[in-house]
Amino acid sequence: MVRKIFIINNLDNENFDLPEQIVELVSEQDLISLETQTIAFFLIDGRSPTTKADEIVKNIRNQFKPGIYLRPIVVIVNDGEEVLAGVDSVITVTKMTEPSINELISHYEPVNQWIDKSISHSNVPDSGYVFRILRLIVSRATEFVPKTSLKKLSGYSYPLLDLVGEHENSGLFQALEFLESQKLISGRFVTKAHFCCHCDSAFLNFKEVCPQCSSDHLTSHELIHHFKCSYVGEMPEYQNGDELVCPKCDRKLKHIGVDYDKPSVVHRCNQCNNRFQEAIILTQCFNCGRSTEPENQVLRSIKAYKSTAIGNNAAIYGMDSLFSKVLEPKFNLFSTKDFRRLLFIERERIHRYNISSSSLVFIQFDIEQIYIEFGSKAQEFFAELSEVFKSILRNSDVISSQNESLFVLLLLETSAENSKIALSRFEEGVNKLFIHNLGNKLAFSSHIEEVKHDTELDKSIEKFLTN
Amino acid sequence: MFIDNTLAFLYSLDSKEFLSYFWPFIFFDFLRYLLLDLLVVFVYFPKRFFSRQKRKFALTKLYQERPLVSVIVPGKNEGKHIPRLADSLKKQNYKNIEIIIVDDGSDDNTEIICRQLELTGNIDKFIRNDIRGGKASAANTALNYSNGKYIVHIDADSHLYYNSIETILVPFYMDSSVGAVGGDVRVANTEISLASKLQAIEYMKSISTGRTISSILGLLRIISGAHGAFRKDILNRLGGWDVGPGLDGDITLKIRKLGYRVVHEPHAICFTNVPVKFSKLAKQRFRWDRSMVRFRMRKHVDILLPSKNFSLRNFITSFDNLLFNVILNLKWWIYVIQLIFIPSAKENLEYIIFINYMLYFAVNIIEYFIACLLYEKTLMKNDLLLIPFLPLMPIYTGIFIRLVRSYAYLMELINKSSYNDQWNPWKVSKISKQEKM
Repeated sequence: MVRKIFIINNLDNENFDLPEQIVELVSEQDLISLETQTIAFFLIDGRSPTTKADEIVKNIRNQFKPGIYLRPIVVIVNDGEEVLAGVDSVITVTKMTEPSINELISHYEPVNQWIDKSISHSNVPDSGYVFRILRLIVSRATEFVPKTSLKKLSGYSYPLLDLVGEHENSGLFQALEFLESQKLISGRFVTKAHFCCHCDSAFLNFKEVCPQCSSDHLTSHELIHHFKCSYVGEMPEYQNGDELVCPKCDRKLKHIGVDYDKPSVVHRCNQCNNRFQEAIILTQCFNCGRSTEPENQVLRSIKAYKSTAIGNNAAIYGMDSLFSKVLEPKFNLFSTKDFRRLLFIERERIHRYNISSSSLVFIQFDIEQIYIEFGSKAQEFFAELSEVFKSILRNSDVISSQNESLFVLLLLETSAENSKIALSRFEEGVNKLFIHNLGNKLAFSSHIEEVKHDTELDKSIEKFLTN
Repeated sequence: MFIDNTLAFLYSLDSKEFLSYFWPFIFFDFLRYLLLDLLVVFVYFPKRFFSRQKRKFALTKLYQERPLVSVIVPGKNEGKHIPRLADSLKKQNYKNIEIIIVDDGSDDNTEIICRQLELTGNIDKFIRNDIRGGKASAANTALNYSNGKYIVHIDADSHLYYNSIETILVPFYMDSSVGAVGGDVRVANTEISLASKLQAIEYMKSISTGRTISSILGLLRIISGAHGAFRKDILNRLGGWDVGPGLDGDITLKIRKLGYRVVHEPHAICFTNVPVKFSKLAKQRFRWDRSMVRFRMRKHVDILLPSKNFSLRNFITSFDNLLFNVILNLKWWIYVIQLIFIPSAKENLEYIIFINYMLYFAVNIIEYFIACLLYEKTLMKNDLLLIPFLPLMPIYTGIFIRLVRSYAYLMELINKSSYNDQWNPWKVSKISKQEKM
């Protein structure tokens, strides 16, 4: 199969000297009906503003067909112009030669192969924003590094992901955070940034304000201590032309450290005349104009992301292939919020009647190992694994998935001792399953905690994970 | 047996011999302290009784005017004391006060404590000087940032009685020529040690009674830094405090030189922490006593000399101070020499010492009870618990304090050792020494 470059909107007024067998001229309207498997990349002429290249890029990235929106996009730009949002790379007119184009086609071949593989499994349109983001990340098999951007309200941009969906960048950050929490992608810390807690803008003005009237119209003065007479006053009190003269004893000050020093600085509010040393720091948002204390703004870690084995699997086989998705219909997985509420009720019940006990069981798998070992068979393995879960759970037990690899079970009316028996049965079942399929054991850790009056889900999870 | 012999010795003395053996007590200490103390009974109480309407009127005037009072607290490494002080200030019945704390380059957690107090509104202003400049500079920093009509200076390790601010302000409203009022300083940590107990008795005698008498006579020469109120316009005129040690005595004299009255108010009570070890007490007194020489005999020697601004009261104030503290301190050494070298005295040394002890003990008892009378309703249980320690007072004041004082005067006269005192930063002391201040 020969891949072609698909030139969006015509370029016939230019002679790029490209052989016809690798070029296909299409219009934006044709996108929906394209034969997707032959696309090497889309090429858009972005040299003239009238072309509105960014809108074409957005149109492509927001197509639902994975064979379209996932494909690489290259834009022809003038010399020195940077990569546009949503675009894989740019090319200048001088490089529009057959060898360069062929080089690009080869360069994007792995991406296209992955897309083809993904489409061959399921070619249904993707409408979920988060899944589309995941697929774009996985398809490029590279780390998505954030870049500072004045054009984005969030101040940071992941250029290739920016035009997906109608969301503002906060939506992208949330999608990335969610994918990371589900272990579908992994994040590497790059930096931290404050965001407006009202509008999520990164453009904040940090300013010192008067603690009395909150005005930022402040003047700061150094204090001067004249050793001889012990007078202490602000610098303007001493200023006499170019000289410093003590207002108390009329002596001319000679040298700092010899006959005077500057022990501190005092701010004066020009609004209310208050004098103080510790100004209050406030942040004012350039976007919404609201002022807030820095500690109340959102402090977010800005990360570079790349896909994980779980993410790779999910991107090809769909989110439904995830273990938690397999478990969900069988056990009616509880959301963390609902699980927390149930736990609260249970602990209060136990505390009130004090006649029985329940247990929390934490189970953590090395889920990445499963995806790596089983690949496309992971979903089948999960189905078998869910049967092992079923063997220890009763209808009255409650299960919640914190992420793909961490599960919390609330075994009602089950003492820690009995939970231990159930857990060992589970362990035995999992190991049997793994040994049967791969010949070795699955690495997983577990912990049992009796529900007490002060049991809190988050603390218990933290304790389990740190231990 | 010894008592019998002592009494026999005493009866054997004719009046001439009695005077020659006990002249320091009869001519100086008996007159200077005991007789003057009786002024409290015969002058202070009647005067206070007859001025009670005036006092009441002044209090009404104070509350009608309700001036802002700036309480300034300069200090270094005093953070641990500030919460209690701030609390006592918040509980004052006179409410229109602003509390300004100045940290003179502390190297402990004072800044953290005070910033927190500022944040919670327990103090109004906290100024931190990163570079230490000495107490006077810290007080002047506070003065510069104060807005009150009156300035109340308090030491950081002190706290006030609930009506102290109100009481210390009343004299300003009784007499417009009053420029500064000294508050009564009492010992807060009486129960801690023997040293603090003896100081508590000493403070009752010398500060409560002594300064009340000086005030009656118009001879008050010091307003303690621990608790004193000043008119801000006068402090501004003076440019605040000058370099210490002894800055409280210095500013009092400067206010007097301007022609203002300086009075003591025994019912404006401040409790202060005193040194609990004799070694620390000796260091403190060494510093205080040297400043006597430095300020009275050097900086303010003009008070003793005829000039167009000569004031008899100021002259007496300084002369009395010099006479009894410096010059008559020497009398003790003359007396000691007399007892050792004159054969008849030498033979009866034990009886003379014992009789002297008994005389001073008796004086101490009388002085203590006069102070108790002076305290009126403010006399506390702790003050009464000091009675068993009265027998130690002749030794404390007669030997310990006297030795420290003599040494301090000698070192200051010969060596100008106050300029080397670490109480001030060396750079400040260096300039003071250069300028002969």
